Amino acid sequence: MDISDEQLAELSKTGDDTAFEELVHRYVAPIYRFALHYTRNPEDAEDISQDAFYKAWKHIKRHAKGKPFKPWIFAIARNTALDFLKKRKVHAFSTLDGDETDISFAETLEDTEPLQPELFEREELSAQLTELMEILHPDHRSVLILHYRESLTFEEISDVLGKPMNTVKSWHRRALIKIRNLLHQNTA
Amino acid sequence: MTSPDSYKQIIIRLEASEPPRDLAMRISMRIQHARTIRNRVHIAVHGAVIIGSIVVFVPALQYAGAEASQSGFYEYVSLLASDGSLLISSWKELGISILESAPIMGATISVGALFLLTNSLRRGVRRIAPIRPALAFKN
Repeated sequence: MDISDEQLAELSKTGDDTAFEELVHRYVAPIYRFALHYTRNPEDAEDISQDAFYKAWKHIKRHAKGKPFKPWIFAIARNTALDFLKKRKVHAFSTLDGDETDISFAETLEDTEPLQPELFEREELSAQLTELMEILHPDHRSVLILHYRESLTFEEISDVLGKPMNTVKSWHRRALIKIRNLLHQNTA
Repeated sequence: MTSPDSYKQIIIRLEASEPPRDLAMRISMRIQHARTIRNRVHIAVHGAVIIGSIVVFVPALQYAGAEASQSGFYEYVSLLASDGSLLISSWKELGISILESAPIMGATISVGALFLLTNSLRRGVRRIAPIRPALAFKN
């Protein structure tokens, strides 16, 4: 029988070493990739991953019983990455684009314009998209990664980023629009 | 194809960077190292408490014994044990005398030290078990 992340976290609280090791094995790759989107440097992403798991182990008792483990560990990784960037002073985005609290209702709606089908046929799409993602603000990028790759809900992402859900939805929409425009520009 | 689906498809196609194979092991080793240090600190603290409580317990017990013999506590207790009828006839007086002569100060310190001793012993032993393999590896 598979043990859930939350059950493993509870076992870790009682001092079960193997339970936390299992959590490390489950999340090492997603956390590393998540950290890499912030730092863009593999070695720094390794350091952030190590620090994030160490902090999670140290403060495992702070993980509230019944709360999902996944957003909790991603929130730790995100904070660790931001601290790391602050120390290194390599944060290219000191402020977010515009006033993030001023969100119109329209911005929280889903984008309904589909991408051009021929985009998917391009072999270099993957590499090109990786480059385009670099242009986005780290938090906007995080929203896309967490939502589409890690399958987190907007509510869980708002927990990870410590922002209201409407802000997260707004960032999601802005990121999609930016990506779409950049892809179309590159296609033209 | 609806838009969110199409975005999901392209984001999944992002170049996926895999972590180094030994990253999970390095994380586990770092946690193991931190755990060993934490256990050693706990053992040192509990060891100090154990020594301290033994140092306090022995003289406190001697003091309680001296206090009991000086106050006549033993006599009252032996009287109680030898003559059961006395308990029925004058239980109130006997009770007050035993209470008055009881080595309360010495007994309280002794019990307190004993509690600290057993508590630290129990917690200390629990911390020794996880670091034993690390110590064996070092040797």
